[in-house]
Amino acid sequence: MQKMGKSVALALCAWSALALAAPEDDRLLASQCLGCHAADRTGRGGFDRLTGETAAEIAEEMIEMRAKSGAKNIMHLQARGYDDDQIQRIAQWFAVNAGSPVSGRSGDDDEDESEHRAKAKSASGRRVSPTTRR
Amino acid sequence: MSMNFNRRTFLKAASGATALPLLGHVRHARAATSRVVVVGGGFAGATAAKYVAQWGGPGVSVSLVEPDATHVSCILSNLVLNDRVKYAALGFNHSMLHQRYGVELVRDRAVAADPVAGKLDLASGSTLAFDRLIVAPGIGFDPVPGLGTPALQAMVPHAWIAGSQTLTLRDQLMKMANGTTVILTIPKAPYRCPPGPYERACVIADYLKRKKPRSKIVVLDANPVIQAEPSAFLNAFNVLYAGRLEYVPNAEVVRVSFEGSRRVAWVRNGASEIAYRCDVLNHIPRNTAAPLVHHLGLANVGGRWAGVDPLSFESAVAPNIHVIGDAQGTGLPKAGHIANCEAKVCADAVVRMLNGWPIDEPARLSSLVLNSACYSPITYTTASWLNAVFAYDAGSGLMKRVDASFGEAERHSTKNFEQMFKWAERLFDDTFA
Repeated sequence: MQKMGKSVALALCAWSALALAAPEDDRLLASQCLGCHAADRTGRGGFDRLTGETAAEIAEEMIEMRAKSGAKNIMHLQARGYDDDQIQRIAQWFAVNAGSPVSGRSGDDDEDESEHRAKAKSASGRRVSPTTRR
Repeated sequence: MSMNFNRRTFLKAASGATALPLLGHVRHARAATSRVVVVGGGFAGATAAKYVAQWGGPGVSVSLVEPDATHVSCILSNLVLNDRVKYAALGFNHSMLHQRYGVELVRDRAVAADPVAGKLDLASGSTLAFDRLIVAPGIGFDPVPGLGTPALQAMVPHAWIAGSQTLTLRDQLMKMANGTTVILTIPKAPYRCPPGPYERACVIADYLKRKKPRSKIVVLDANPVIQAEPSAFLNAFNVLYAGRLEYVPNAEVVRVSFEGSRRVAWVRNGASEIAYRCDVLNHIPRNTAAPLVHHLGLANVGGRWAGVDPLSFESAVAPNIHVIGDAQGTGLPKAGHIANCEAKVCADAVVRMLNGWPIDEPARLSSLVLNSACYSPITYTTASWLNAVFAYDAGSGLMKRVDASFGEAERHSTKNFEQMFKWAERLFDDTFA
C-alpha cells in the first residue's frame, strides 16, 4: 500500500515536471539530438535512428548509456550531460514526433542505414565516405 | 515580393515535398508577418535558417544571404590534404533549405545593417528588411607581417576556411620533394576548432610517413600546451610520429619572409626572433570574428568576438541582431557541431521574441543544452574523438561545460574512423537538408 502510494507520487512528480515544459521547450531540447541521430525516414547518416520507439524505451536506453561503465563511449558522455527530467522530456518528444521506423526493427543502425541508403534519394546530395586506401 | 515568395513556397511544398519536416510545420500560403534575415550559409547560418523557417511557421519569412553558391565544410577538410576525402564531397548548396522549408536564397554580400530601422544593405545595392537579423559569418584573421598581398597569401595558405586554399595546401604537399620540411603554425586560442590544428599535424605527418619518408613537419604552437585531446595528440606526436614531427609550444609566429623558394616563419623569443625555415608553410594567423562583425561594430569582446546573451545569442551591443557560430564570444568552443546547436537555441529565441513570448522561463532554461562532439583523424585509417556537453548555468548566466560529459577517446581506432563519417554525414544533413 505504502509502495503503491510512493509510485503514484513519483508518477505525479514526473507528470508535473513534464507538464511544466511547453512543447517549444521540449522541441528545442530534443532538436539537439538531431546532429547525431536521424528521427525520420529520410534523414541521412548518424547513429541509432530515433524512430519507432516508445518514450519508455528511449529513456531506458539513455539512462542505461549514462550509467554504463567501462570503455569510454561518446554517447555515454553525452548522456551524462542530461538529468532524469531532461531525458524523460526528450524521450517523450521523440516517441510522439519521430517518424515510423525505416525497417521493422530499430537499434541496429547499420542495417537501417544500408536499406535506407538503397531506397532514399540523397538529401544533402551525396554520401560522404573515404576514398579507397592508396 | 513577400506574396510571391509565399506563393512560390506553397507551390513547392504542395507539389514536391516527400518528407514532412520533423519538429516543424507545413507552410501555408499566407502573407508573412515577420522577416528574419540570416547572413552566412555555414553550419551556424544554414541551421538557423532551416530551424527558424520550421519553427516560425507560416507567419515568418526567412532569407539567407550568402554570396557563395556552395559552402565548403571545414569538417573533414583536413582529409582532403592526404586525398582521403574528395574535395567535391564537402561542398553543400542551400537548395534544400529553399525547397523543403521555403528559405529565400539571396546570392549577395551583406555590407551594412541598421538594427533600429531593420534594414540590411547588400553589396549589389539592394536592401533587405528584417525584424531580426542573424549574423553567422565565421572567422577572419589578423594581418600577417610579410604576407601583405593576395599573391603572397596564396603562397602561404592557412586553409582554415575550407575552399581554394585547402586545394592549394594539398597541392603544395603533393609537390614537395622527399626530404623537405613542412611547418604548421597554431594561433593563440581561441581559434576555430580546438583539435583541428593538431589533427592536421597528424594527417600531414601520416602523409609524409607514407609518401615522403625523409621529410618532417614542425608544429609551432603559440599556446603553451595542446588545446584539445592532449592524450591522443601527445601519443601521436611522441610515438606514432616520433622523429618525424617536432612540436614546439609557446612559439608565436610574428612575421613571415621568403628566401628563394623557402619560407621563413619568425617566432618571438623575448626581444629577438628565431627563424624556422621550410619548404611548405601552413601558417594559420590569429583568428578573430569575420570582418562583417567588426564592420557592424559587434566585436565588443576583447575587440575580437561578438558578445551575446547566451539565452538568445542577441548581440550585447545591438538590439535585434543575433550572432552565432565561430564569431560569437560566449566562450563556447568554435566548431561546426556546436554552431549547429547554437543556431537552434537562437532560432527558438527568435521565434519566441517575434511572438512576444519570454525566453527566460525555467522550463526553457533547462532546455538550453548544447552538444559538442567531434572526431579527429590520427592516421590514414584511425581517428579519435572528443566530447563535451554545455548547459546554461543560472548562477553565472553563462553556458558552462558539464564536466561529467567531457572526455576524449581512450585510443584512436578504425572504428572511430568509420564513425567519423556517420557523424559528419548526419551533421551535414541536419544543417544543409
